[in-house]
Amino acid sequence: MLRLIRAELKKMTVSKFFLVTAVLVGVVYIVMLLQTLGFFDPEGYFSTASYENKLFQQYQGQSVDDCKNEIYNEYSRLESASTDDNQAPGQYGPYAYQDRLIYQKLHEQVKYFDTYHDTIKLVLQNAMKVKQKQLDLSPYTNEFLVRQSDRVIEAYQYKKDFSIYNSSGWTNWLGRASISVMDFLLLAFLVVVIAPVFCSEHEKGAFYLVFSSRRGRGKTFLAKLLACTIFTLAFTLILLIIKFAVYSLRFDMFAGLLQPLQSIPDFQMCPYSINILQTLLLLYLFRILFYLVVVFFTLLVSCLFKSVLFPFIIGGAMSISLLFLQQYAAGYQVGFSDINFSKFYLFKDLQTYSFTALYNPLAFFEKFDVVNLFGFPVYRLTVNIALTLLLIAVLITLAYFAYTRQVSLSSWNPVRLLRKKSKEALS
Amino acid sequence: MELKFDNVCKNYGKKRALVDFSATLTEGVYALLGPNGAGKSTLMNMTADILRPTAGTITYNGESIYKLGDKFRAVLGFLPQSAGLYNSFSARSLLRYYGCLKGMDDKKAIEARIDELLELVNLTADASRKAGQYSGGMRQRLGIAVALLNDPKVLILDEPTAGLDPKERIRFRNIISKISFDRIVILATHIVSDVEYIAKDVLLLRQGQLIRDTDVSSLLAEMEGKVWDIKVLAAEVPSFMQKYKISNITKVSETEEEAEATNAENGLTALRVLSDERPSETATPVPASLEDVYLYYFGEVGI
Repeated sequence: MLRLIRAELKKMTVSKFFLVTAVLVGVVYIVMLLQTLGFFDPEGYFSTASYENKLFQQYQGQSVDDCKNEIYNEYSRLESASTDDNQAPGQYGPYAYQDRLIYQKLHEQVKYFDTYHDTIKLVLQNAMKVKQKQLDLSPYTNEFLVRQSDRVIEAYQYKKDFSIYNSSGWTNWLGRASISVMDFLLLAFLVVVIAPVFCSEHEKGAFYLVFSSRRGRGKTFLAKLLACTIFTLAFTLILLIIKFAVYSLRFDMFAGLLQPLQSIPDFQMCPYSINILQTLLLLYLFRILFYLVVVFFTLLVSCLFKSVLFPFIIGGAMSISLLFLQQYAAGYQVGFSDINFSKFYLFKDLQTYSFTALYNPLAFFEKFDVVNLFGFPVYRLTVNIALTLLLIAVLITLAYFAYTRQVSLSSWNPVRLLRKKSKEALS
Repeated sequence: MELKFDNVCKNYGKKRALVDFSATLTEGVYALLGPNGAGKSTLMNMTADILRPTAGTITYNGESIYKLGDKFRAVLGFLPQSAGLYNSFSARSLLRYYGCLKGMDDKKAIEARIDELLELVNLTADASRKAGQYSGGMRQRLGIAVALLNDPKVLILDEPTAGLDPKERIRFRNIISKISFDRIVILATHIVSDVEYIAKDVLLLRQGQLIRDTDVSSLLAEMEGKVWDIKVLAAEVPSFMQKYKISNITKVSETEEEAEATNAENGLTALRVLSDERPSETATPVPASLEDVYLYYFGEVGI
């Protein structure tokens, strides 16, 4: 089976078309990443980056309590010492423009770390109040709110310890994780590579040999499916590595890798006890799930139509429409509507589900967000993953039946059917 | 070893592609002859587990081939009409790929087998070239190598010699003849001469029905007195064609006497006529060939 998977992977990737497209897409991706980070900015990109990293390294790894006074004092000194003469961009050295900007960053971070626990304390107090049934609602609602409060307490009760690091890199990374045009070009590339996997043998007439071979339809289907999954995993991983390498040119990305996610201001209310590395891995796991939905949908179309044209068109259209839906369709992203207190609102609550939310799942990490599942609070993230896995299972099952069906050798091709019908009508 | 078809039927909607096909095949070459749409490909596709019969059973050594599943497919070699080779693959890579599909897991064994087959189909020198650069004949030879890759016990060949030059056709015929003593070979072709000397049995199919299943010599013997050679004037040829199935028309080089006896503008033409009755008094009976048999059963008057 392993050899068959390897052979399928080879079949997918050994062609001039693939190589040329992959190189082209790779180069465009890197250039766009560099552009995003201001790499081509002639105004001292590298010197700013190295100066910033150097300043942060002075305090890196120290606990907030140990160095907060020094940073507060230094920042006040720089603020008071700033004059019109040293406010020109590109000025380095004591009291200069860049010094002050970078100390501002450092100061903001330390201030945020310093006040973080006070904010959480308020959340916990509120949850305790709810748990003590200070709200007078229906018994069902109260029961749900008590359970929800237990969840809140469970999520926020542990004290987070932060140490100083330059969070700019990770803030930038996570802030730019939303879907962009480039991401959809990558998706389209994936569709182009995946689309012929199940139908090229029909187009070339090789399916006679494939289906009559010992491995047969079932095992060949499995091998192709695994090859596509492996390709998607590898593709996503390569993108991750490229992005990390490009970001590392600008920021010290290793610093803070093991810091709690809550150390980044936007994620102050993240209910999960995870660090940045774990968040990164989860983000890519979800992105893989997102890609897999698109891949398996493409495979299903490929199996149904037995023609490479349809997966190309449908996959491409899907990529573009996702981009537009992401931008314009209301409620398309993860909806953060208020929790519905009645169990009968479950479906309304789930209407906000969209597998594309997994492409940019940061919203799941930004706040405590649960779905009321028959009176039990379940993290929306968990529900979203479960539904996406279900969707993937349905797509795979349908594709399996479409690929292994023995009913007819002819494909269900609407264009061909239409042409046949119109010919019949004309005759 | 026995491959048995028992009242096998296949319908495509209302169309009946194969009707109550029954036959028992043992080791040897079986020629499957019939015009287009006779049901040959349907029969072969069902034997190769591409299609399932609407009714009836196909058994291999007493067990349904569909129940045997991969066990049957492990002993099966199939060369379809359109072999479908991937253009970006070299012959060697393609054989490796099909080796994986055929469940050949021993890397050394598969490489040795590939070398042997490339030699057999005369593609050793072109083994590294991409299949997309191959001529039609070379692609066909590569397809034959794919079919033989797993050393199959049941070999199904659909038009295997299409596109091959005469030398390669003879080479192929000899290969099939050599390997057929311990395996079942089902060979469908329109080039009747390919099977005349190697087929153990001939199965004639028409409109999905098996009309004859017998050995070549019996078929030829049955044709005794049904194939005639006759020399006619060129002007008479159309009327003969309207009345009889003609398997061959040749312009005769006239002798001086014949030229004198006939009008100078009307040369003599030799016809090979298929008819149950003597077409004319001057007609002489000649031994039949398998091509005559084919035309006798499937040919049409006036063509």
